[in-house]
Parts: sequence; C-alpha cells; structure tokens
Amino acid sequence: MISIRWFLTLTLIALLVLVSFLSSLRGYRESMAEAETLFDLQLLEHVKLLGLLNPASFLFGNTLVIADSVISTPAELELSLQLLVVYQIFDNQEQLVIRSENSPTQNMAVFEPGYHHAEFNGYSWRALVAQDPGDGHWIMAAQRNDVRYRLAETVTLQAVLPGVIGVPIAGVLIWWIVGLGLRPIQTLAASVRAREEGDLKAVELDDVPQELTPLTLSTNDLLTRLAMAFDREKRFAADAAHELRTPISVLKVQLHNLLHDLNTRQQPEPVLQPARQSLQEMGDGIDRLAHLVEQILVLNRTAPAQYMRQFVPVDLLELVQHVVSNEFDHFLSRDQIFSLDGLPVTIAGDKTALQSLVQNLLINASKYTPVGGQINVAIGREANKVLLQLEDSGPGIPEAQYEQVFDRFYRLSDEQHNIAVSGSGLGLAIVKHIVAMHEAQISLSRSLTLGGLCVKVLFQPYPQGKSV
Amino acid sequence: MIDAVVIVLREVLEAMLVCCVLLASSYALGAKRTWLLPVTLAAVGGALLYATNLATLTALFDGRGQELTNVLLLVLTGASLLFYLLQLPAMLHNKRTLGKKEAPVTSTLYAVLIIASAAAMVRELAEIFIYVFSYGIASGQAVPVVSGAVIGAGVGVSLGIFIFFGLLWLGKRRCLQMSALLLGLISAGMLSQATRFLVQSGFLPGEHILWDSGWLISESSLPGELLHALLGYDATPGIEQLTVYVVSLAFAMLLLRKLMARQGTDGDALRQ
Repeated sequence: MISIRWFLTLTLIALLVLVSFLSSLRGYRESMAEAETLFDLQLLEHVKLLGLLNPASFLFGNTLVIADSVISTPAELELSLQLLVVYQIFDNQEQLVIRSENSPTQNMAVFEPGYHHAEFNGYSWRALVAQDPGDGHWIMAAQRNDVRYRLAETVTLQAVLPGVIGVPIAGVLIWWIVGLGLRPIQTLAASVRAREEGDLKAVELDDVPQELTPLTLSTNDLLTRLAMAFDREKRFAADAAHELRTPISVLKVQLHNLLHDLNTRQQPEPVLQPARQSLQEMGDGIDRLAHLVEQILVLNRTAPAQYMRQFVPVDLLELVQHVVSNEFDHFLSRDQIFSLDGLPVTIAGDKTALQSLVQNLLINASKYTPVGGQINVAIGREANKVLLQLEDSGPGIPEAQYEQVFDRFYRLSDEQHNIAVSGSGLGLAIVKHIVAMHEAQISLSRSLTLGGLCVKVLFQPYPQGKSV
Repeated sequence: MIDAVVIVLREVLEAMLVCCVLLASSYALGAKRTWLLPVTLAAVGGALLYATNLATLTALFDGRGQELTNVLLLVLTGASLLFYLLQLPAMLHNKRTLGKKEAPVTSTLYAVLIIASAAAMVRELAEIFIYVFSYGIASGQAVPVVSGAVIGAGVGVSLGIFIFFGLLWLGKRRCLQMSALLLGLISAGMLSQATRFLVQSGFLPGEHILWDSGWLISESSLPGELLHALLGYDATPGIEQLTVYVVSLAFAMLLLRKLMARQGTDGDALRQ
C-alpha cells in the first residue's frame, strides 16, 4: 500500500498544479486579448490625434528626436522605438501627403476604414485606416505585431510567473503539513513500539486525534485482555507449583516414616528387601517431582517480564566456586574430572538468579557427561565483556537443535542422550530467562578441546567507576 | 507561451502515460517502485545527450538519422509494452502455482519496465530540451518559453499522478485489466507513429493518405494532443500506419483477453 503521506502530498500538489496552471493559462489568454484591445485603442488615439492636425501646415517631423528629449534611459528609448506608431496621411485623391520617417512610400494598408493586417519593412503590422468625413483624407497608423505581442506577454507573464514559482514552495509546504497531520499516527506507533516486553498498560488517550481514538480504544481493549490472559497463565503455574510443595513435603515425611517403620520391623531381610526397594524408588520419584516443582517456580520468578530486578555487584568467580562446592557431590558420584580457571571479575546481577543459572548449567553438564568424563569451567574477559564458559566431554547437542533446547520442557531424545537421565526440561529455559534478565548473551557450540557441548555466556561488565 | 505549453504538455503526457500506467500495473503485480527514479535520472541524461548531439545524429543515414532514432525509440517502447503484456498472464500463473502473496516479479519483467519507460522518456524529454533550447533560450524568448514549458510539464505530470492513483483506486484486478488496455492502445499508437516516421523518411512507400480528419479534431488542439498521446491519433493516416495500428492493437487485445481469462480461472488471483 502506498503511504498516506505520499498519496496526500502527490495528489494535493497535482490538484494545486492543475487548478493554478490551468487558471493561469486562462488568465494569460484573457490578458493577451485585453492587451490587444488596449493596443488597438492606442492606435485609434493616434489616428484621432492625427485627424486633429492640419495636413497642409504639417512638415515631416523627427519623432525620435522628440523622444530623445523626454526619455533618458537607453532601454526606455529602445522600447519607445519599438512602440513607435508609424503613420501615413493621404489626401482624398489617395495621394500621400505626409508620412512618418519609417513608413513606406506606398500605402501601408488598403483604403478601407477599419483594422487591417499589413506586411512591410520585413515585419507584420497591425494597421488602422480611417477616412476624414469632412474632406475625405485618409489617415493610416500601424504598430508592429511582434512588438505588441511581446509587450503584452511581458506584462501578462508578470501575473503568471508568481503562480508558477509559488507551486514548488506550496509543494514543500504540503509535504510538511501532511507530515505534521500524520504525526499523531507515528507518535502512537512509536509509543506502542517503544514499550518494554511485558508492558501491557493501556495506551494513553491524551493528544490522540479523533480519527485515531477508535483504533486506540480497540488496541487498549486488546492489551487489557492480553494482560489478563498473561496474568492468569503466570498465576496458574506459580500457584500450582506453590500448592504442590506442601503435599510433596507431606509425602516425603510419610515416606521417611514408612522407611523407619519398615526398618524397625522384626522380619527377615528377604521379606523386607523388595518393599524397601520400592520405597527407595518412590523416594527418587518424589525428589524428581519436588525438583520439577522448584524449577517451575524459579522459571516463573525469573521470567524477565515479571522479575523485580535487584542488581548488585557480584564476583562471578566466587559465585561459581560457591555453586560448585554445593554441587560437588554430583561430579564425585559420577567420577568426573572438574576444573575451574579464571580471575575474579565483577558483574552487575542478581545473586540468586545467577546462582540458579550456574547451577543449572553445571548440573546439565554433569548429567550428560559420561562417568569419568571431564568438565571445564572458565571465567575471563572477551571483547569488553565478561565470559563464563562451560565445556564438557559429553555427546554435545546437534547444531539444528541449539535454538530449541531453550524451549520449556524440550528434551533431547536420541541415542546419545539417555532418556532415563532425570530432568525437568526446564533448566535451559530458566538459564535463558536469567540471561535475558541480565541483558547477557548465550551461545552454544561444539567444544574444541573436549568435544562435547560448549556454553558461552557473555555478561556486561560491572560499570567502572562504581564502587564494588 | 501557449505554444510552449501545448508542445511540452504533449510530450510530457506521452511519457507520463507510459510510465504511470506501467508503474500502476507493475505495482498491482507486486513489483517494487524503486526502479522509476534511477530510470528517470538516466533518461534525463540520455535525452540531454540526444539533444546536444542532434546535429551529428541528423547527419547520419543521409540526413535521416533523427527520424531513424525516433523510430528506434518508438519501436523499442511499443515492442517492450507488448512484451510486457505478453508476460502478464504468465506472472499470474506463477503467482497461483507458487502460492505466494505477491507474484514473483522476474528480472525480465523489470528489464522490460525499464526499457519501455526509459525509451519513452528519452524521446519525449529530448524533444522538450530541443524545443526549449532552440525556441526559447537561443532566440531570446527564455522567460515565456520556459514558463510555458513548466506549466505544460506541471499539467502533464499532474495528470499522470491522477492516472496512477486512479488506476490503483480501481483495485488490483481491474487495475491490471485497465492498464493492459491502455498499454495496448499506447503501444499500437507508438508503432503506427514509427511507421509514419519511416514513411516520412522514405524507407517505406506511402503516398496514399486514407483520410483527413483535421477539420474534426486538429492534431494541434488539446483534444487532438490527448488522443495522440493515448491512441496515437493522426489526422492524416496512411495505409501502412493504419495496418500496423490495427495489427498491434489486435495483438494487444488478444493478450488482454488472455489476461482476463487467466484472472477468471484463478479463483482468488488479485481479486480485491
């Protein structure tokens, strides 16, 4: 669709040009006809004046000399020369009595009263022929047609030209005014576009022109419904996870009691063993359920749209060391080699969220790295940013799935990724939220040193000059 | 001044008709509009080159160089327009088979658009430059001739803008049909004009003038100019001219029919 601004500007300018130019043309024609009449009247005045003279007592006069004594500038003199009316006076026998300097010796036009077209001296002329009703002598006066036309055009053009010159100026003004008129649309679009993710507040109706009010109202209505839907979704997940915590805790306690009860029974071991095994597996299941519920809660809490950010300076190395010491049992139980390199670097972030990020990445690495495998963590700087890099010797992730693994409940299921590995499928989704919250970047690739997955997170460094 | 207005208006209107109808038609097909500005600038350059080298051009082919250049430009425009019309049904077919929202406009189509509009603009602009220079600036009549040229060009461009938006206003389907009809008429007019130039320069025999309708519509009157630009109106056509006109118009109408048939079979093609 063609932009409204272009449409309005082009059609308005076109309309203006058509109306003003066509009326200029009309004016031009009228003025030219009017000027023609005026020049004819001028000729008539000359003839009338000549009629007042007594031909017998009139001698040849030098009109140029007369003009010279009155007119001072050469341009005006030239004009006067061009405007010069030439004349001839004949007696009633059609014999030439007097003629002006530059008139021919023959009669300029036919002896017939009225306006005539004449050709002499290499020009075309407009001639007026009149006969004295008294003694019947003839008076002829003529003016050059080209001079009359040019003079008339010069005068007329003075009226036409401003219109022609004014159109481009009007065009620029139209472009500007149309832009001004359409500005509320741009402002509205910009105010909607500039909103932060998750900002579903109604668009302010102040300063919205009448024409845009229905659109704004329906947009606001849509935003309200969207906000309510989002809210419901968030509340449902959070409430459900929260409400599930209590029964899970009760289950855990009951399971513990059951195990205790079983252990204190006086029954032979072969009888107790299957029951104890079942209870153990049940306990694992409940642990997984509890983990899943916790992850859902974390996921909801760290959603960028609703997290209340409380950023403080965090030493990334110290934070990683802290998480590793908590989770070291994981690596020990799977006999994995773990290494951590790096210098203390400070970033601005939320400590709890960052711990959750590192924990999820570490547990993921440990989970998918085979027994006896290796996990390297490095902290450093890369191009003015702070780099956290985790590499493992696991099977890695196929490149085609790099995007999808960040989706909620997405599980890798191929031969190399054991489906039995427990997990909620929420770990990387949580990581993604926390990364977005910190305006950091996360990228996955294949580890060049260990052959498994390499996860790189680039954080903004803590602004220098601020006290840590 | 009036002469300048009429002459420039005629030339501008001819070029604007070709460009605006092509622009509207290709726009309805989903083509971009960015090709027009560079083509216009290039055509201005080309026309200046043509106008400044007029003497050299005229001297070619025993003094018939200018007529032949005109014939070449006219045939180039007319033939590209017919070729464009030939491409249209295929475009709609592509759109249907590929199932895209907009028809994929091929580079061939863009080339045809560029050649047709550039050839039309070079010819008309060169005539304007020659007229304005020789009758205006060189003979001391700059102000009236240039103002007349500006008024004529302004009116011509404005009419072109209204033709463009008028065609778009019809909706894509009817816009394509109407512009195809106009392009057919224009191309037939151009090809018959080229024939007239060939007859005038003695390349084709042609003493037989079929009729003289100058008493009804003079070629130099405003309706005559409009009809000339749109239909290639000639008050005194020769038999060759009329034959070329009828044949190319018949071909164009055949293509239009094909286009409409294609639109008819295509359930939702460009229906708006």
